[in-house]
Amino acid sequence: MKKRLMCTIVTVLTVAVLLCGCKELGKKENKVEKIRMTYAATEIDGVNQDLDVIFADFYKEHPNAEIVLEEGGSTMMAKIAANDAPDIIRVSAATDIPTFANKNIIMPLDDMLAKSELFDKDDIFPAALDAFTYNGKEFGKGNIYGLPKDWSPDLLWVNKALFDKAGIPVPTLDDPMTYSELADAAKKMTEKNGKDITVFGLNDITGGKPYRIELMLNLMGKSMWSEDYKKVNLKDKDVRAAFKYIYDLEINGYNPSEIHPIDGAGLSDFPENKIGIFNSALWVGGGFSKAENRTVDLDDMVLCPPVVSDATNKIVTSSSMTGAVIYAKTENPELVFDCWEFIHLGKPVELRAGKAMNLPVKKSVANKISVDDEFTMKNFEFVTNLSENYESINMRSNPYITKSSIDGIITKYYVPMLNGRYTFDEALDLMESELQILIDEGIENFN
Amino acid sequence: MKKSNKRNNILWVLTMIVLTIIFVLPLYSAVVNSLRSVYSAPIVGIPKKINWINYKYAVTLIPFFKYLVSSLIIVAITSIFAITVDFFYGYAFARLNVKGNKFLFLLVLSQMMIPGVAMTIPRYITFANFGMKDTYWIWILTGAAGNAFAIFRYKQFIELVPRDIEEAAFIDGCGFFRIITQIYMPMCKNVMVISLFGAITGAWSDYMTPYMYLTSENYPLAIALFNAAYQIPGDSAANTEPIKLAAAILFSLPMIALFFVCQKQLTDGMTAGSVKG
Amino acid sequence: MNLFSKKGSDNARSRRLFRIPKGYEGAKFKAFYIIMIPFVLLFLAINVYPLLWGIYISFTNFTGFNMDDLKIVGLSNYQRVFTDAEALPSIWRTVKIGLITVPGSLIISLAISMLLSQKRPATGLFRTLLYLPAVLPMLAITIMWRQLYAYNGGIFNVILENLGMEKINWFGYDYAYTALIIMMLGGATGGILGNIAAIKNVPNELYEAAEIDGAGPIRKMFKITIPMISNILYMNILMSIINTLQLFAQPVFLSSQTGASGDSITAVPIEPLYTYLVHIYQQIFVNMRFGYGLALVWIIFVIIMIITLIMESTKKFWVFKED
Repeated sequence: MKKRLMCTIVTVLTVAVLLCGCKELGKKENKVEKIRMTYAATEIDGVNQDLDVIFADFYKEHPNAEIVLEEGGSTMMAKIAANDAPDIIRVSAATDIPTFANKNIIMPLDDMLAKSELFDKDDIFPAALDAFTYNGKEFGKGNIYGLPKDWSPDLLWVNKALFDKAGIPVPTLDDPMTYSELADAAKKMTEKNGKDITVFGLNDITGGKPYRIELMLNLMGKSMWSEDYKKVNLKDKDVRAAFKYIYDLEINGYNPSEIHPIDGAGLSDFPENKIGIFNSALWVGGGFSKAENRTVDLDDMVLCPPVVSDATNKIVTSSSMTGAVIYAKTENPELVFDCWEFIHLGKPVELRAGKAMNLPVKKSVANKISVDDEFTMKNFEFVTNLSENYESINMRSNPYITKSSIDGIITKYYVPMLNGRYTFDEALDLMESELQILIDEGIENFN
Repeated sequence: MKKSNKRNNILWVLTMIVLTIIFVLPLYSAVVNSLRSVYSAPIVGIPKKINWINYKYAVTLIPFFKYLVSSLIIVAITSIFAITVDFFYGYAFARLNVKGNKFLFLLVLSQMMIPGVAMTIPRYITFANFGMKDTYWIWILTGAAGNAFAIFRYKQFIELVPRDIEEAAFIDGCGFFRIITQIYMPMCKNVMVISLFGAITGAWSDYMTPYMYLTSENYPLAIALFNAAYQIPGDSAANTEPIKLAAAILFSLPMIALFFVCQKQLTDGMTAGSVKG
Repeated sequence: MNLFSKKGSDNARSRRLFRIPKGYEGAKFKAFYIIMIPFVLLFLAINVYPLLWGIYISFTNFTGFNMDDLKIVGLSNYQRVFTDAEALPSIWRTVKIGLITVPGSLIISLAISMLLSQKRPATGLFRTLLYLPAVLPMLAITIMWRQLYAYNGGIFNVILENLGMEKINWFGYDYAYTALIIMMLGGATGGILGNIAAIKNVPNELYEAAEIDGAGPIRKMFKITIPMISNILYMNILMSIINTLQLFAQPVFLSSQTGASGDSITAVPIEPLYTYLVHIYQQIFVNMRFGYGLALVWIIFVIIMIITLIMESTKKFWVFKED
């Protein structure tokens, strides 16, 4: 009896293996052109999840194509090393493009874009285009490597009631906050109960510390990298001051950190009256109106322009944008470009923007959007208005070292520093020397 | 005597209840929190409003059943090899003492000590372009090359079986294939269940290999549940932790069920194995 | 289960000398080659070839892009291990975790196994329930534990608050180590099935004899039970040491940085959880130092080999043998 059971199990399993083998064979007969990409389905469309639905129009024109998604992030480097990267690669523009472009891993799209019917340079938000335009050293100049799927400038969400309570004026387009005003406001609004922080004056989760610091420096015309990117100068006066700025906010509990944690990254805390200023993007607003334990009035959640530099007092910012580029060794560039074009300039653009949670890349699409929800619409119009008239500066990004390496090294010493394991300058020393080692190696292995 | 025994029993049961509560706490917490709203913070007790919708989300936000099929295929491939090929290898190492046998076995054993990443990365870089991409061949090949733990276990058990059974069978005209499948396999049934259980749980929760070789077309659940795939469409601000927990529970259930099914064989197999290590 | 007793097998061996069946050796040879030739070929292709390639790469400057002009850099990747600010400290950190979890898990699983191998009501039920956490996939377990450690509303902090103590940031610098240890000890019941089986196999006569000598339960445990199951305990310790040195997933998935993004393999855990394998993953998957990363791998492999050899060669002092 038991023997028969075993036999049945083994037979079933064998058949299963054979079947999956046959499945592969069956596929090959149809001559399918596979397009591999690292977007998640929710990111492409915003409404549909099913790839067959999302790409229905694309498949009509390219019946032989088959789009498959795959995991990119952590294993991307190994995939590149194996010459096996996906055709369409999801990137964070400011941080990934320098590495990829300089090592010829991704292809410039200028020629193909010039022929494209859907691409009209003037209709694209300049900040969105600049973030994907790169000449080997700087953004905003050179070749176009891709486009964001959608985007949002950095913005401040402000709890008006807490501002009024602390007697701070709410920033406006004409009178935005400077970094020193931000630190001041954060300090004033923070409330403590013993060791527990009940209200964080500021919650800044944008892009991680190195990003925040480099952005602050770039706004002042400074940088943590030397002019040719071959040296890192963390102990330069301005760089040190920028680090100190972030450090002071966190050590005092004005901004959440590893020593003063906040649950839910602030998304559920802001509507619960636990945050004064939430430095984030447009999309987080979507959760505020739905928050279960919301205690802040919707009218008291005010969207404000981003922080400006103390020195220049201009509304300038560049945001970390998620988009996609095309793998240089892709087998069928035309087809892959068509697919890329469909996602970034075709119908999905409108679908993604339809809920007004993020800005589309096309101005014309942005101007057509309208949703019933008053709160969302008001904020969306504010951002569109801001972006159309906004002067963007492009962040500097070091081609010799990857973003994740920088993040890894800085996080590794920053947290012990917050916990008093290293003094501030010791930690900067350690970060600097380790970053420098990787930069030197990067230079050595640079093509 | 009897009275004190009863008191001891009560004391013992109480101790066990406390221990059980401690060790099952994560599971309890996961169940409770998987039922909370996606717009709220973690909770300890049962939520006021039970949000079964998280389970619905866990299944519908990703092509759950498509991924399940892939998981099952991977599990099937791995388990077939665990109870057939590995057994043959184990037998060869245990019984067919030919020169070079020992050295080969040492090589197999060394596989147990190398960190997985040291094999997966070079294997991937050297093999990715041999048409392995988006097929299950990598599981078939690694399966056919044998699993060190299973081979080791089989070898140990087969060595315990007296040789004269095999020799008697041989005299009766049994070939080695029949000797292995009809004499040794039934004897080592419980050990096979242990290996099968190990293979299934291992393949079920492996995320590294599919990360490398597969695309969404063939993703198993292990990947799908644990990368950023959970997003409520148009509501990127929702905290998807409860959905992830619901997914984690759904993901664990088959393994729990499997454990219940083969609990007896596992225990018996271990009993037999504890005689010799 | 007579089949599996040592005696039977010895008898068989001694008898076999006298009558090896005709043609048996030849058939054995044939069977060996039929099984082993495909095995060796596959094993060479699937395991040995990548292994050798990995060793070769550890002597080069491979960074993922430069396959075409690969330079042999000699031992410099291995030398770097000693100048790297993180490599050696991360080994020490890993060992520090192991110093608690290896003996801790052993004691917990042994104690529970002892309790469960008594003749008591509902042992089967408790055995099943206690073994349950060991059945859950590791990924699922870490997701569950993150919930327990949540700052607001996590069970541990709620208990602390009710006891009138301050809440703890479990993912923070001061407690991350403790949090990891607790989580790993929570999986200690994985060994109980084997242990219970071994304890039940200890012949009852030994206990009876000891009772006649007037031995109490504790004496019986140390003089009879533990020596009799020392073999399985030895295997548990060895595997547990190997696994701890290769500790990667638990610290990474537990670390708070992982929570925000789904991309978890490359997350940098907080310093006390930055183990050696995490360092390797960082080099390979983040910094693209494939050569250096693989050099780090071979070093830990050699360490594990040495530990195994030491344990195997001193096995006779650890493991009690019946005869």
